Amino acid sequence: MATQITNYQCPACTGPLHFVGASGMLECDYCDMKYTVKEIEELYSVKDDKAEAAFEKASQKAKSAEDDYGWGADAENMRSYNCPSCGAELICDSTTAATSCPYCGNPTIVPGQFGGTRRPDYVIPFKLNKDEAISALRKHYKKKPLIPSAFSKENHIKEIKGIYVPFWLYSCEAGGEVRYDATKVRTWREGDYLCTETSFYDVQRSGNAAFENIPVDGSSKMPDAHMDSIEPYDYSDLKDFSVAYLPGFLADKYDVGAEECASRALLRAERSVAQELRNTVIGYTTVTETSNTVRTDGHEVKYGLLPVWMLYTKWKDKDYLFAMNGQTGKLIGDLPVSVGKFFAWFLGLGSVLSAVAVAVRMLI
Amino acid sequence: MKKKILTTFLILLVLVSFFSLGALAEGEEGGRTEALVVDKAGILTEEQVKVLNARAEGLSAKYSCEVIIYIINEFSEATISQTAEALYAEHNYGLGADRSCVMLLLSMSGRDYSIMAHGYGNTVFTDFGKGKLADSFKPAFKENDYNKGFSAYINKCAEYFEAAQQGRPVDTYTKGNIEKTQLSSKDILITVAICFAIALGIALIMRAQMKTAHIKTVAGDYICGGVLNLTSRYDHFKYDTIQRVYSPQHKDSGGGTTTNSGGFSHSSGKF
Repeated sequence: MATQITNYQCPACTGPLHFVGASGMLECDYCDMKYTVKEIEELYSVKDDKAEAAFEKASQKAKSAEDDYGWGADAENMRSYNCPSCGAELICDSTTAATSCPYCGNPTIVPGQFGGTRRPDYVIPFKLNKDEAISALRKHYKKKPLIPSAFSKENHIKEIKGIYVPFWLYSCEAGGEVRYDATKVRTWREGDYLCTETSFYDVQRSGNAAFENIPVDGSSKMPDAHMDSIEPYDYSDLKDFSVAYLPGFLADKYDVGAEECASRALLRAERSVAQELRNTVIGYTTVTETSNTVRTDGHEVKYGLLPVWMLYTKWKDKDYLFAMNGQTGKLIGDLPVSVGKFFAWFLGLGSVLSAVAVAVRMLI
Repeated sequence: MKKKILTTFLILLVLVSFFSLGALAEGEEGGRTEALVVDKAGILTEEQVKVLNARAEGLSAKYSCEVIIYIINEFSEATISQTAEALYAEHNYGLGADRSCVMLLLSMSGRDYSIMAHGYGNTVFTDFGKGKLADSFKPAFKENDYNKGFSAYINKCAEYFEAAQQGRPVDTYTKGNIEKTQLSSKDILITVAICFAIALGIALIMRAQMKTAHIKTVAGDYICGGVLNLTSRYDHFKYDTIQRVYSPQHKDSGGGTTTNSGGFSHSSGKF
């Protein structure tokens, strides 16, 4: 039976292969052999094509899974695969495109998720490895004095995962006109009188700008605030998509369409033009916008997979997510606040400042 | 012969005694004809007058500048300041060649006070310093505790003499002024409240830094070439308005002591 998934294994020893950002090659976990992306692509192209075909066929029968397994409504969001290495059954999200077999540990790719129109245009390979991600996260904790001590100890930091997140990349042009009411204020003294002169202006600015690859994540599982906050990516590292970059990492196919995400990107472009036009209005005391006709004019969209290191943590029944840009290392995340440490800092700082201030006032 | 020698000796003895007593009198009281603390209004007890007088004498001798307290029911001249000058002349107050003194004159009927200085007293008690000196006794006088007020006045005079001796007489807040403002409880409370407000602000900023994920609203990082293409700009002046507000400037006194033609400096008010 044709399998829908492919294990990327070392041609020399059949050990699991994983992509290494530092070398830009796929390396074997067992025998340290290294292969270029192109070599592995050529080696596995036939298997990937077969897996893709099997995936398409299986997709037609997806609904029957509900009858076969009694999953009910959950069946729509689930897929079942068999690991070609050990035969284990893998139950995944319907959007999972890359994972690893929990039984034999082999990196597992679902080529069908990238078949036909679903094939990404680009990928930015991971540049930072897991150790670097863990080290960056530990440094992030150290800089936060209000973090509860128990949180950083119990954080399962080694469970951080590298994920290729699906993004829509929008290119467009935006332009228009913005008008403002502006004033200049001048004061001077004439004897015992304070004089204030206010001059009123009508200001107008027009301009346009071209935008390239504004990213919007196409996964409903990824919080938009986190994905926005780890921007920007360096697009000079953008590569044509190849499945060979995925082994060793997780990857998801998009589940939020391009048109659905477009409005976010286009609004950002319009706001950017308005902000740049505002920055040219200088030399005034006050500036108030009165009208704005900045709009985008058409757009192109590409589909890319961008690297993110992520760690989900549950702490006192609340979820905390850390995301690190797998290319630049920019790290963000929400951290819990220790109430005790917050008040300790407040009272300690307040006491020290008060003592110093009172002493200085007495000496002056 | 013996009678002549004895007579001559006795005459010489009388003459020497006469001049010595005169000189002694001059040295002890500087020629003044009244005590340093005089209560014509009867607001102090005899014992209180005696104690205050002794303290004033000690201070006057130490700094060669008479410290005088004079209490009357009504002032005799047109103003209390003129009355103080008249009393100074009448009782021959003042020590040394420039007849240095500082006098606190109280007129009970109108609850007026005057601080007058002469000679070295003008150096010690500047215009600013007289104002601060009044702050030392006015609260007690308001409560009709005159002994406490005069005692505070004498204590303050001692501080001012000491400051002047160190070359830094009490004056407007210039560098080196040793007049230290006594911090009231209200001042301390306000200072502490401001410090804790600052500490709270810092703690809230630290807490805000724990949340770093934010939605982006602009896309400036993705502008091709990084630069906006500005196609037109237009700044049109419409009209202006001018507003004039009366706001008189405060004059800075700059310190020092203002004296009149007689060499006296004054500060007066109500208690």
